[in-house]
Formats: sequence, C-alpha cells, structure tokens
Amino acid sequence: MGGGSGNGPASSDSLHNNFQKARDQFPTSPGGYFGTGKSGGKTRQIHSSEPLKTAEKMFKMLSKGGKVAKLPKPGAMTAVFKDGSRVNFRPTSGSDGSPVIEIAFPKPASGVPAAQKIHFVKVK
Amino acid sequence: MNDYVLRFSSSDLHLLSDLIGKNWDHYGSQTLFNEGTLAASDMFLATSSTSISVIADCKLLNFEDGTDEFSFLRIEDGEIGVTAARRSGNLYFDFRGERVTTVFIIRDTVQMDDKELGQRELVVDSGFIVETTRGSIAICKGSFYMQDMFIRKAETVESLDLFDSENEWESSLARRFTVVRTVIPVNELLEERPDNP
Repeated sequence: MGGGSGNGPASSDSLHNNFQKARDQFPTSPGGYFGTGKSGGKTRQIHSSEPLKTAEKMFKMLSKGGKVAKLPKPGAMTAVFKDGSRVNFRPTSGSDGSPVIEIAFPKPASGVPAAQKIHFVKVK
Repeated sequence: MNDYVLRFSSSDLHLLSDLIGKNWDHYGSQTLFNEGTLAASDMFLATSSTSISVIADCKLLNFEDGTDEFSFLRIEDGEIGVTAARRSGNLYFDFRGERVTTVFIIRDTVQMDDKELGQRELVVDSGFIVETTRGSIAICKGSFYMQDMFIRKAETVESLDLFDSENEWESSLARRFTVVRTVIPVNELLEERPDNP
C-alpha cells in the first residue's frame, strides 16, 4: 500500500540500447567493459583531457529515456529504468576524487556485464 | 585462502536486532524509484518506537587482481533524510502496525579459484529482511559494486524476489567462481560472536 508518489515510473526506454550506442563513442573490451583495466576487474578507467566533460557526456548518452534524479551528494545524478537497470554519475568519487560512472543491469545479456564502474582520469 | 570481508558490524547487528518485537511503521529514502522498490541513496526505516538508517558506502578491495570499489552497508540510529523524503512523498507503509518477529541477514559468499591467484573468498552482508506477522520486507544491495538498494516485499521470506548474487561473477577457464547466499537470523549471529560477528 505504498503511500509515496516517489519519482514515478521510469521510462520504458532501455539502458541496454543506450549502452550499445555508447559503445560507438566509447570502445569496450570484448566482455563489454568500457575503457581499460585489469581483466575481470569491474573498475575501469577512461583517460581524457577533460575527464569531467567526458563523464558528463557519457552519462547523458546512457541516461537517455531513464528517470533522472539528483542524488544527495553534490553534483551526483542517477538514471533509473523500469527494469531496474541504472546508471549513476558522481563528479567526485570517494576513492580517488575522479569523476565516476556506475552502470548496472539486473539481468545481464551476453557481452554486457552486470556491473561496471568507470573512473575518468586526466590523460598523461 | 585470502579472505575479504564486508560484514555488518556488531553495532549494526544490535541496531537491527532492536527492531524485533516492535510494530513496523514505514521505510523511505530521499531518492526512491519504481514504486518505492529502488533506493538510489541511503534509506531509513522505522517502527513504532525505533528508527534506523541504512547507509551504503564503498571500500577498495583487491579481490580480483586489481583494485575494485565494493559497496557495503552499515546501520545508523535515527532517520537520515526523513524530511526530504516526506516532502517528496517517498515514504511507504506496507505492513504498518504489524509486529516485527525476526530480522535476517542476507550474506553472500563468493569463492574464487584462480589459476594464478589461488583461492580467495569474499564475504558480504548484502542486506537484511524484516519479517513481520503479516509479511516481509527485504532491503538488499542490487550489486556488489553499486551503492543503491532494492526493496522487496512478500508474504513470506521464502517468496522474496532478491537480486541474483551470481550475476556479477562469470567463470572462465582460468577463474572459477562459486557464489553462496545464506539468510541468517540476526540474533543467531549476535549469540555466536556478540562483539565480532
């Protein structure tokens, strides 16, 4: 009997579709992980001359059609889809301070990992 | 075997145990989606006389030969963010007035057997279940890495539709994963090792 109107139902658009489109601009490993990182590890890195802008661009692509909301931490955003898949953006990660995007699918498909975390770091 | 542990602290378990015997009232969060079933930020829950908050934090662990940020839950006294949640209507009153009979801890154990790294074990308390006289509510992380939480409700503990903890562990020829989920009464954990469960 939930009493809250909450943020309403999410759009039926699919994070999976957005993910596939994002791969055109942000290459993935054969297993579907963006950027670079250890084999099997779920934390990845994308190197960029403008890490924050690049992260914002990726979040914009991945969040399309989802229910977007601000998170309590400054600048942080989330986009949730009706199937429970979601993408989070934080301008400052707790671990190394870099912008970070988290992607999770409750029902992963082939070549699309269930979860990954991407840090955007300044290119050296 | 190397162990990696993200379990509830003794203090967390005591706060959860304190819910038992009280009358359930509500749960909420500043950021709730999909009819109150997905919390993108910290949550709180309340009985007739107690309230706690469920905080999701991250910790760096080198479980798979490379540092990953794993999420874990901890419990605090009081309702954090209740004013903002109330303002946006993010309070849910399922099973209101029903007595809390038991609290169960959802514990996921991931065993990795890697050709180079050997055997490693990751133990994570992914959430908990509040069982009332009329139904159960589960608060459970939806991922080993994300800081959001899924809320599930059902008439019985057995029929709760929890996230599949095997999703994120894909075995290969060189690396095999075994994932085991156990659901343990909180008082059993406190009785076994009251100071360091």
